[in-house]
Amino acid sequence: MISGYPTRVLVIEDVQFDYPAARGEGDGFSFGLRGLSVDRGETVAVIGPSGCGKSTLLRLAAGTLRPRSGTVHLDGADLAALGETAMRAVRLRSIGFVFQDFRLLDHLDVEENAMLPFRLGGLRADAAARTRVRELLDGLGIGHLRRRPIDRLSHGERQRTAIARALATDPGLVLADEPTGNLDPSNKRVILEALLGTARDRDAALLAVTHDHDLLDAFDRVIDLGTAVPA
Amino acid sequence: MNAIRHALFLARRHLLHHRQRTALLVAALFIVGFLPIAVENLVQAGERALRARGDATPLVAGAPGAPIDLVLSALYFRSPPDKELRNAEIETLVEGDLARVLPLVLGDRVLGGPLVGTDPGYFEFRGLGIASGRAHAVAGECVVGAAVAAREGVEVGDRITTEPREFFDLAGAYPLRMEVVGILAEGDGPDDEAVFTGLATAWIVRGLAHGHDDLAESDDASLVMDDIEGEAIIATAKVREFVEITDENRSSFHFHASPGELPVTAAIVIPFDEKGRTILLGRADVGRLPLQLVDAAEIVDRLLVEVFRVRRILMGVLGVVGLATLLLVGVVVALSIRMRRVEIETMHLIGCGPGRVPLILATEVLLILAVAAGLAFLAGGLVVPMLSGAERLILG
Repeated sequence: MISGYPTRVLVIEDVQFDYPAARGEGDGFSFGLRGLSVDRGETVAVIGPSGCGKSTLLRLAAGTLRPRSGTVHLDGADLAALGETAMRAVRLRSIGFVFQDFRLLDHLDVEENAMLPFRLGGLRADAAARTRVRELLDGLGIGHLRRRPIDRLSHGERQRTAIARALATDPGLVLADEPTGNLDPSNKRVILEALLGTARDRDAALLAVTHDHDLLDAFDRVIDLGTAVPA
Repeated sequence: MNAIRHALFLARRHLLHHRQRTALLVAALFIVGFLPIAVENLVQAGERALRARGDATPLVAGAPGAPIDLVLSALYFRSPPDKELRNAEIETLVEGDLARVLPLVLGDRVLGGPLVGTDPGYFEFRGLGIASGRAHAVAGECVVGAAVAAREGVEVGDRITTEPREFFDLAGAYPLRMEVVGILAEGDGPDDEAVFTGLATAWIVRGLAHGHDDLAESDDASLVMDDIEGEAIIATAKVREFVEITDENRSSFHFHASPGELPVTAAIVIPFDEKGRTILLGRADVGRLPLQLVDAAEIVDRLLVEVFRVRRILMGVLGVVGLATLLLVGVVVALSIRMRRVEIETMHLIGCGPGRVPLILATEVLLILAVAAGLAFLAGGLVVPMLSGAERLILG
């Protein structure tokens, strides 16, 4: 909870991040953003041309990149002040990830993939956790597939599984990198609405990078990094 | 504890999902573990069996030559040495009632195993019981080892025929049909694989004695080529040579050499006391007799030194092969980790603790090692019971 902003999950202020230049090339890439805040239950689309820093924004929000200057607050915690262990704990409990290429483990079935944060993070994978995961799977329409191996799922079913994994620990923020990028056109809106609906139901904020401009109407807000004010 | 439980779960699921790769790694490591264990177990079992048989055999006499060949012939009925003793030489050796002698006449085969001509006292000496029937008593009778009887389905009362030494040797001895009068109880040794008969029968099989129509009594003139009155009757090729010894023809069997000239492959010499043993060894050592008398246990020890040397070399080779295999397995694991880079990165992103991914990967490797080692120990332990006669495997 951000002080003075009880529903605010993510607040980014005056961040500046520099990518060093590749060897033998000219200047490196610099990303800057004056400010961005996302509230609980709010869904935000991030658009912009390639190389404008969309993925960098997600990684700064996830704490996997540290800005040269500026601050990133997540659920009231200044990420710059957190050590590696605390940062991992924040990622585990407060952030869910959805990737374009799903990034599911082929050797686990649907339910075990959704349970993965519990197994990897040392959280209690107890009956309550399993019940929550099954509710999520039911809500996403794949409850009947919970014992199915990943390689026997369609792309749409895989992304629903990834959404369940992202929301399994009830995080305050879901970061999605091109969540519909690998789906066929007929599936894109269905899956996106499933993602948005589930995030809203769980009162989680969603920050999603997308290139699908015809789906932007589904989001509460759209940030165009091509026109955003740099820091 | 929770972390180990989760790591075990994830590692197991990963290994089961990639069954073929897991099976390949387990198989490679299994071979690396199994071979040294199997060799070691075989050598140990072989050593025990060899020593036991060697220790149970006091002295072995035979013609001069390689003592190891002699002892292996006497203990395991392996191919006899080139030279043999004459019966009379053994009698001279033990002159003065110094020892009991069990002569062995080897070299012929029956039912795929060795035919051993010896005294029926051999069974008592080796502690071999007779499971059915009785010991051989007269020429033409034999006693079959337990393994041969089981393998060939031989029973008391059956007739078995010796194998000819040379198929195309027209002048050679005829195979002999023998009557099975006894089946030995299982002895877990080379006796199980042999067929025993009397010395006379063994000599008959060799062609040193035979039986045929009595020309003196026969009215058939076509059987006689020449009759040198009072000296000999020379038979034609029509004369009938007996290939089986029966009550009716037994008396027609005769030797064409004096008993002292008949060959003996080896003789087990059992001195009655330590003094007798010393005298016997002294007699053989003096060199007056054209024979050697050796302590079987001592020769087995010498043989085992060679076996251990070969084992050391084999273990060295297996060690190098094992190291190479481990390195290859290491490369496979390293490549597999490389291929799982995205998976590992995702785990870290989700919030995986710093030691958690190495713990999962290490658990996978440990599970593979544990399964391979378990199978190797299990199979290595089963090698000896499954391959009966470890000492015969060692001897080749």
